Amino acid sequence: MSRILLIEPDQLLGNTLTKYLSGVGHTLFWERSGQAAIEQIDRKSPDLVLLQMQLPQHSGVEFLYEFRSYPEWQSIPVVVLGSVPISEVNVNAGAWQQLNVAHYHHTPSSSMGQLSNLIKQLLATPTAFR
Amino acid sequence: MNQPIDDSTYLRALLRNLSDDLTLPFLQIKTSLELLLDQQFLKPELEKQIEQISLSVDGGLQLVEAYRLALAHDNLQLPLEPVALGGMLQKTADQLRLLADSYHTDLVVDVPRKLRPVLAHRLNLNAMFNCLVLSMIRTQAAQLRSKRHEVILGVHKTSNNRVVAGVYSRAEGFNSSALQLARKLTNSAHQPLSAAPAGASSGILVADMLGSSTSHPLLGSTHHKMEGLAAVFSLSKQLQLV
Repeated sequence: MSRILLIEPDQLLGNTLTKYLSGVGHTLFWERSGQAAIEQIDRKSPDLVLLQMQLPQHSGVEFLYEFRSYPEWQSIPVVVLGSVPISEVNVNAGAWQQLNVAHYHHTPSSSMGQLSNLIKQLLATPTAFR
Repeated sequence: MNQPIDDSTYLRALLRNLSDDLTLPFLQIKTSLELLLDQQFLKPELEKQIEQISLSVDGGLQLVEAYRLALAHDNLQLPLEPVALGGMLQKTADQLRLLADSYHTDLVVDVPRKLRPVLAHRLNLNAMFNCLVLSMIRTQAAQLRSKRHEVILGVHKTSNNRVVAGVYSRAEGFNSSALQLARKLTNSAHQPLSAAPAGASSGILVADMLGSSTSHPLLGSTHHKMEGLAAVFSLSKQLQLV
C-alpha cells in the first residue's frame, strides 16, 4: 500500500480526491499548504506527492524548490495538478526537469481514474518529467 | 474606478481571472460525479455528493452573476438608497451558510444595535458581500488548520460617523497593499491575490469592482482584531424604514 501526500487547498476537491484515491487502495495524507506539507513529509515519508500549483500565500513552484532542497527527498516523485494548460504556467521545461517533476496533470481535461493509473505507473517505475 | 490600466484591458484581465477561478466549481462537480460512478462510493456518498454539487453550482453561478452585474454597472451613475446593513449581511450569511458549512466555517453577523441605514446600491452590495464572503471562506479554510473556522460579517462606525462594513477572518493577506497589488497584477498573474488559493481571487476583484462602481471601493480593515476587506459608507439622512 503506497502513501501519498496530497497538497490541495480546496476543501471540497481535496475531500473527493482523498476519498477516491483511498478507495483504490492508497493511504492519503492531505495538507492545504506548502508549509504544512513540508512538516508532513518529514513525519510520514510519502511515496509520492500530488501538488496543486496554486497554493495560498506561496506558489507550488516555491514549495517544489524547498522540497527538492532536501537531499533525502530527491527521489520522491511529484505529480503537479494544474487547472491551466502547462503552456500557461510560467515554468520552462528545464525547470520542470531540474525540480524533478514526474508529470503535469491538467485536471480539467483528465479524470481521477487517469490520475490513479498514472500514480500506479510512477510508483512502479519512477521516471523523469513527461 | 481604482484601476491602474484602462477599463477595457482591466475588464478583459478580470474576465480571464474569473474564467480561471470558474474552473474550481466545475472541477468540484466533475470529481464528485466521477466518485459516484464508482460503485463502491455510490450508495454511501450519493446524498453528500449531490449536496456538494449543488453548492459548487451555486458558488459558480453567483460569481458569474456578480461579474455580469459589475459589467452592467461599470461607468454608470447608480442610484443609492437607504440600506439596512444588518439585514443585508444577515441575508448574505443565510444564503451562504450551507456552503460555509461544507468548508467547516461558521458565519457570524456582527452589527451594532440600532444602526441607521447607509446609502448604497442594494443589488451591488448584496453581490459584493456574497463574493467577499465566498472568497474569504475558501481562503481561510485553505490557509488554516483549525477544525472549525469563523468568518465575521462585521460593521463598525468610525470616529467621523461613517460606517465600515466588511468581511473578516483569521486568514492572512487581506489588506490594502495586497489588494492594490492584486489590482495591478490582474492583467498578468494567475494568482493576483497571493493569499488566496485557486478559485478565490477573482471574487475579491469582482467585489472591488462592484464597490468601486458606487464609490465604495474595498480597502483593508480590522474588526475586533480580525483582518479583512471592507467598504466605507455614509449614513442615510432619511428616516429608518421599519
